[in-house]
Amino acid sequence: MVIAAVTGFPLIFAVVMSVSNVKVGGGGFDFSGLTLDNFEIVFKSEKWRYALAFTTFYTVVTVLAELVLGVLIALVVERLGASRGWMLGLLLIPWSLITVISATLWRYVYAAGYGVASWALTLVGFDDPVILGNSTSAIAALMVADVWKTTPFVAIIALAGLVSIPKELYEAAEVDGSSGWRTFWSITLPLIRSALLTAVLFRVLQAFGLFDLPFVLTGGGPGSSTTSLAMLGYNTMFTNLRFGPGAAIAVSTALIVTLGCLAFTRVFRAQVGSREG
Amino acid sequence: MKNASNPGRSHTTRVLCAVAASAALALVSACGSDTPSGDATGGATGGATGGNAAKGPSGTITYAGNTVQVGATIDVGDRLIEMFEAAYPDIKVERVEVPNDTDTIRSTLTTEISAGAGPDVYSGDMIWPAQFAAAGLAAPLSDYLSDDYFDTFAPGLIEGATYQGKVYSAPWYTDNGHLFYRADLLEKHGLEVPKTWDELIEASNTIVAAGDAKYGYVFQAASYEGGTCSFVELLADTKAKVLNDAGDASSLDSAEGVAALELMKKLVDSGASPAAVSTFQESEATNLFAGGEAVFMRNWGGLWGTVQDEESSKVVGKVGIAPMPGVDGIGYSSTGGWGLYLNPNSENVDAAIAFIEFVTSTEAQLMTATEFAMIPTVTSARNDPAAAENNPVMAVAPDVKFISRPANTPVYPAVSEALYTNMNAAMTGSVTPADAIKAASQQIDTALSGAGL
Repeated sequence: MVIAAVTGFPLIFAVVMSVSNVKVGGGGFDFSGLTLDNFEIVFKSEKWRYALAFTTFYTVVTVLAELVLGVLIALVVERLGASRGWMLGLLLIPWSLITVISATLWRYVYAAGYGVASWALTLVGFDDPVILGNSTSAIAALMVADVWKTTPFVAIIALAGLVSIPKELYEAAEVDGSSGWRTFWSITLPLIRSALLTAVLFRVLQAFGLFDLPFVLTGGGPGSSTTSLAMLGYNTMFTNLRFGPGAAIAVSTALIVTLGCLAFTRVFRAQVGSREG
Repeated sequence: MKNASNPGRSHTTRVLCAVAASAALALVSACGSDTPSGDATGGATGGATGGNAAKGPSGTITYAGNTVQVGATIDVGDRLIEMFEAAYPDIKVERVEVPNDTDTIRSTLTTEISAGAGPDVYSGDMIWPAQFAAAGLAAPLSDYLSDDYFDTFAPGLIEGATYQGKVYSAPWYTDNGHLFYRADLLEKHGLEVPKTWDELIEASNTIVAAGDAKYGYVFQAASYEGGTCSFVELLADTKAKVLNDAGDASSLDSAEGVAALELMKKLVDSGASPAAVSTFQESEATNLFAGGEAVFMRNWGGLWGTVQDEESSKVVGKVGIAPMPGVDGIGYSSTGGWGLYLNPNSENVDAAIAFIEFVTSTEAQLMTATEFAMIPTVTSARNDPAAAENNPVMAVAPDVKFISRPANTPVYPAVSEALYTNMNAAMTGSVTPADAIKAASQQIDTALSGAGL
């Protein structure tokens, strides 16, 4: 009951806010009317369309990269014997860092002039590179920081899936003369698919809510090229104090990501299922 | 977030305040204190309730002030409270910690105040009055304080704090854009302190070419509020106007507007400034300058202390500060600074007003000027020789030409965002200055019409 109230209240509040004319004030929020104006403002805004495209692109690329790298790491770690525990511990370090802190670390890495990454780029022929001062490289820099931090999460979930695969299956495959590649596609992958599905859903939900990395690293820039939906919503609400449109961004983002996840789950089930059959 | 614990605490405080406030109110109206009480606490029940009703405002108030520290020892807020409580023994002030980032402070205050709580008195950026007034997040100080009080401030400051005829903020300290320079390097090369951009570019290139510094001129051109500050200086320099006189439409899209952005770009293209300025906020510029890697820096005068601090700077004693250069002759300096605001939810308005008055008294302003190198806002303290002593920022003040950001509109944050995002895009080279100005101008119009995000 309490949990339902705690979860439900902010959700309902946001939805109510998004369909009202909201006025802030010393005495609290003042709602009036039932209107879709807020959504109209949002959907017609070029800023919103850009943020949606950027956030979607960012989510797709980072989650795919994390999925591939995570499975590879899990396959390697699974074969380690006694050192597996240590490896797991090491793996968890980036994941356990609070994003704001890891983002601050990356800020030093990317800093023009004295950053390690900038220095490395000068070695391969770039003249005084400004990684965060160019849209393309700034987006890539955010993605690298994200993949660095969250691949371990995918790896650990994938590892949990791998460990649960009975050894007999691999032995049988070997007896049948199946190649390593074939074994991976026909046995390993199908059997860890539900683990991977969980990992991907978690990651999509998180990546779509991208906020702290660009907030610390780029402030949404250069220009507004790394302004994610969450940042746009935050700015609209708390910098511009336009609560109605801000809530509309939040509500529409939640709907989009939920629908996206549902669609993905169906496709994923169908895909991997057909492979099995 | 330390502030997360505030609402609870301030609620308890509030109950205590309510009792104290009614006592305080009674005596203010009774003995005609020099604080014009106006309609002070509105519907609060009057009537003398306590024995302390003969002394002036009393009770407890909360104060959320931004942090200014010297040598990481004592915070200016604690020092002011100490002085205030000595002068007003019946009032107790509790200092509330605030985040260290202006936008985070704003969002914290917005959520607290719109939820009916928040600190009685808070310090806020001087660009907030219109937005906060329009959103009901600040109470009009001019309802409680007289014109005589507002006349004590330096000219121009109160206009900036006024929205629709009422004053919403008591200017606490100001800060302006300045040119910091390496006096030793200029002397070595027989150069004068540049008064124009061309001189600055030439001096930068000479000194960098000689290998005496890595960079010429560093400034703030990142995609953030500080980028707007740097930009409006150049806009004023090329005589461009951001808003029309009525303040209801953009007048940025003009030859002058484009010239300002081209000038900013030229600083990088000429080699005087590194391309990385497009990622620079105050701290990045300061790090390079204090590390001895840059000859010139545009930054807030308030950072003089950091540049002259042995612990954080390698250039102590080798630097000077001057007005900003311009196209021909001295250019413009953005005005920044902070003011004190009254929370409309405050239940101890008299004590809160007493605190605001005290912080802007000559005595307190001289203390903050001498101990914390903050530039006073009241004329008496600004003219006091003690304030200028050991403070070269004050010493150049008479030559500085000030320019305010176009903050007299409640949608200023969106106006500023249009300025800094497009300025930044042009600085990174992804769009031309002309296209950036056109886009900024359109976004400003959208913001003013309230139709877009």
